[in-house]
Amino acid sequence: MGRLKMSSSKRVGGLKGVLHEVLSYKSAVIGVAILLFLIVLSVYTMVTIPLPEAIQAWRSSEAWSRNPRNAQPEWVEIFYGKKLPRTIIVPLKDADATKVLLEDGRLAASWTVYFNYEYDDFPSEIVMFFNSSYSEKPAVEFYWIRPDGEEVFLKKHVLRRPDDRLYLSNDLSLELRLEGLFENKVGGKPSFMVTVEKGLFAEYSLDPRVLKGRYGIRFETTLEKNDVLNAEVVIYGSVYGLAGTDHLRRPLLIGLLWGTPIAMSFGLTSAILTTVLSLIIGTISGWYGGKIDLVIQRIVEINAVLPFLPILIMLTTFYRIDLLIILLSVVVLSIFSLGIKGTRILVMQIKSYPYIEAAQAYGASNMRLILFYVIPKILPPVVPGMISSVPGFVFLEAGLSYLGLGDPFLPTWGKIINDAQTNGAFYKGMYYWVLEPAFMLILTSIAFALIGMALEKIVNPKLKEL
Amino acid sequence: MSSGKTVLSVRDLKLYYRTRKGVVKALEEINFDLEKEDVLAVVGESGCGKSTLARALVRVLPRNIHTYEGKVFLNGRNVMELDEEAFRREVRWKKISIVFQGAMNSFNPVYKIGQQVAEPLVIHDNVEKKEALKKARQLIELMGMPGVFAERYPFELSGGMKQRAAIAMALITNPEIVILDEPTSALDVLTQANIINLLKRIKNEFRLSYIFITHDLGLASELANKVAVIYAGKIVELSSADVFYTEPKHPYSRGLIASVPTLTTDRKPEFISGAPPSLIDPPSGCRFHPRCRFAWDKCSAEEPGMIKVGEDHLVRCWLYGDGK
Amino acid sequence: MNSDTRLLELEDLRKWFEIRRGFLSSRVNYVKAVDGVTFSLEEGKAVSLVGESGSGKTTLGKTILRLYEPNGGRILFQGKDITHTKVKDLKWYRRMASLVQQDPFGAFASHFTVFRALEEPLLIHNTVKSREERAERVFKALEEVRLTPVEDFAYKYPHMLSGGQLQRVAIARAIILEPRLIVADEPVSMLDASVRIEILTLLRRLQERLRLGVIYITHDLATTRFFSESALIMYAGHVMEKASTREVLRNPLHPYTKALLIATPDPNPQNRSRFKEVPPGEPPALVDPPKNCRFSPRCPRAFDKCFKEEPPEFEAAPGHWVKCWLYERS
Repeated sequence: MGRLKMSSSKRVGGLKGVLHEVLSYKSAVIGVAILLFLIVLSVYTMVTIPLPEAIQAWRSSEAWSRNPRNAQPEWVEIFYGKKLPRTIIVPLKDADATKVLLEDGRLAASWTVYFNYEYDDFPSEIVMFFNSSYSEKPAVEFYWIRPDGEEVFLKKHVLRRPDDRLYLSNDLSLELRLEGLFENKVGGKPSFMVTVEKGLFAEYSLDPRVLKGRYGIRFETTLEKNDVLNAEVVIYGSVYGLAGTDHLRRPLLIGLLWGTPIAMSFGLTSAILTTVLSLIIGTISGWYGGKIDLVIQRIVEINAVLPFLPILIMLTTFYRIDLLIILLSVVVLSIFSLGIKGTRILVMQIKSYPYIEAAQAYGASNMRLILFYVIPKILPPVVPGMISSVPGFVFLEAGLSYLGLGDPFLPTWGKIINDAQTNGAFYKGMYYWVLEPAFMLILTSIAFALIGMALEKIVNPKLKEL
Repeated sequence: MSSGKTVLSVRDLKLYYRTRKGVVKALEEINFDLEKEDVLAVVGESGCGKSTLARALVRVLPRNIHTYEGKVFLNGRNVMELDEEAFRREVRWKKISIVFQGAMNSFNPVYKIGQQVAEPLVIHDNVEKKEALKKARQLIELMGMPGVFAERYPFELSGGMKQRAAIAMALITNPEIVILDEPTSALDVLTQANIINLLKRIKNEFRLSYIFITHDLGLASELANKVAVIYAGKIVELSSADVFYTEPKHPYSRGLIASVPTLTTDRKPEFISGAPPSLIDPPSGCRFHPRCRFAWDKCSAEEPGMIKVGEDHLVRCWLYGDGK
Repeated sequence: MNSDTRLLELEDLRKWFEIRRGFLSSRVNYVKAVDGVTFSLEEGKAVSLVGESGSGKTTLGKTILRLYEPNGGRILFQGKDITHTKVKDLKWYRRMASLVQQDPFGAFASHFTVFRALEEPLLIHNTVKSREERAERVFKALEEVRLTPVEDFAYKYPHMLSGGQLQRVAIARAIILEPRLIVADEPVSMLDASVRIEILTLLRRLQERLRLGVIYITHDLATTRFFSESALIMYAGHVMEKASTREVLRNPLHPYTKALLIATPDPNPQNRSRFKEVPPGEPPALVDPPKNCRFSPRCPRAFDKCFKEEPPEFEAAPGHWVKCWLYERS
């Protein structure tokens, strides 16, 4: 009878009922599963790596010195079909040394340590870390023992300081020596460039092939009586962990893990705050009308023509940026959205429904009408929109971080992408660096989008046919 | 009154809808004949299937149809066998036109009334636009409105005027049968009486047959010479109006007539308690038995067929069968 | 008439709606929806307000409930003038006068159960403190409207009930605060014919038993007969005729009332061979209407005076008032 039909048939049968109905959509089941996974991941992260620790570690370069630089995740082996080298740390402990007392009262010390190398590719880097105490800088000689027993003199190095580091990979003279050795053995110029790593680990042949087997390193030095010399030889692999490492040797996993609770809480908080505040403003505007309405509507219209991103960029450039400030700025800039117009119209429509008039006739106050009669009516259609808007805010945070405007301390997905970008990840073929955070972003947005879509169908039965 | 020539006969028409909750058995076992200049009133409560019947006859149906079968003979030819295109070309509007419930609100606000009234003629008979407009204007005048109204836009006309225009639109292709689906339900009493007068006049003038769908038995008596009472998707009583209004047989029909408050008698109106059943899961046996004062075991166990109780008078009720 | 038993008195009540033409225009026009209505209702009696759409009957009902503030005239409730009382000071009146609306499906917030819907007025007026007492009141109200067993209905949501059942809940809500007056605005026009009488009968019995004043607003003259003591016929914002219901139906005086009676369909197979003599045309627009009898353009018996001057209400017979120049001498 020309009567305006309310978006009926939906029934708020409690949260349980809603959940039950949501799960009657397969897509929503997937969405909920992903969401649960992300939540579990967040909780796991927050429990196992407390935030201050995470920030501390993320920002220090020392913590990750034993990690390979720009290593791919371990699972890329699937695509290469060969075993890629992990990082091997060979320790040389003072106590294990064979020490011989010399005539001058000093000690001739020597160590030989062995390790197995069974990978199909060469290591990415070899570094020796020293940890010593001495009265006079000792000179150390290194020998390389290949699996076939051949011993190669590597280098003589005088320690420059107690915690000296020797970057073997960068040693040009060593490289040249190894190349010479190679050409001698093979009897010609090999087809590849003999770097330090290849020189040490390759078979003597024209093609670069890893010689697998038991390698040894022999150290020889002369020490003062009370000198102590410890060292670690780190043979860096080319893969690391689940997510690989970045240019600062940081495991990306930590960034990805911590990015989850940050992205989720940022997205959810801003979505909920924005939606609820917009809803309240729109309701007030539609219910009271008059001057209040006029003012709110003008603010909305002005806000609509203000450039959102530039203002946000300006704000984050001028003020000390942390996540909370970004969140508040985003919320403030979003609450006077055009959505308010929709809420306002809806409220004006509801205001004319008979049940409101009935309530006025039995004396319900404006406050009561808004809280118990209007808001519960407009909330259901708003919820799917709210859920669907979460990815937008997650992307916004990532986008700001990507632009270098995010919180500088927190490890976030956007920041990882930013690092990847500034370090030419794609140019260098380090796809994982960008794809991993991007995958997390997409996973998050798919979860919320799927749930939002299912809720939309429940709230708006007309969409069910689609 | 009727000339005896059957223009429309419906046999075992059945229509089911598919919904999320189940299959709605909207119409079942619909049988009736309509003779030239007959007015058949189809009477029932909301949701009984009377509007669905109107739509089924002109095949204006929603997409979620589950079953749509039976025979509809129009001048002896089963039009159910026609495909959609042929039906549109030869039957809908051409032979059977319809004035929908709230038709007055279905005018397109951006076209003039005359254009819209002329529309069916342009579509169906390929009449030239100018010619069609001329005819539309004539019809509008015949409906008791000034011809200039053809040049007006829908918002410039009152509800009653628009309803007249809707009737003109139904008549423009010279159909034999006009289905009137609650043609006056949103109108005021005086306007309604005027429209009913108009419908009477044009029926005589054009020798039309009407199928008059209404929930108002009083209004039905203004036009109908035959009455079909529908309850829960089935015809429960089919009779001539003269017999029906004086001697309704089915308990539901009797209840309906008793519930109409009258101005001319001192009879106090009564009511039928209860509500119509769901058409997804209708009651066993006679669908009216849960509300029926006279129901006994048989009514809930076995469904009655249409039982002949007099000349042209059929009732779907065990009270009149051999069982009693 | 003893003034002690008078529940409601309206004196020359007016409700005009302002319309402004255009955004900047200062010219104000008025839609004179209710234009000078005078009548009184005794305790425990029912009056029918009959009129077509646009007659002002619904506006009058809402003005009586003070959902609108009148532009002129007076409303006295139990002798108290509530014409211009501020909304916040009207809380007592909200308890004394209640509303039953036309559309039962729209009359309830879809997120409230029947119980909650009925509890709301009690919560707002805080008349009953304890939850148990409130529940008792709710169940009692449901029993009054014969929605039994009450437990079957109390916890249902509105969409689970039929129109007739919902209208009973609406009536239960209207009586739960123990009011003295109910305004029932077309309470059955959206219901099926078979349940209309049931609802009206229920309302009538409640009215008689609880000694309620009822204003029954309707477009259907036929239903006024068994459900009200007196009737007011409204047309275009004016009361055209008022008398006892019996008198209005038996001995209608105003040409408009006569036309209404003729036009109201009555089930009778003889009808189809007759044309009804009803005036053509439509009710006038109420934007600044001319000062004449508002029915005069359609009236079959109108003469010069009718087009020029608005008639006052003449008492054509004891207690039978007609706003028509035809009855000037009587």
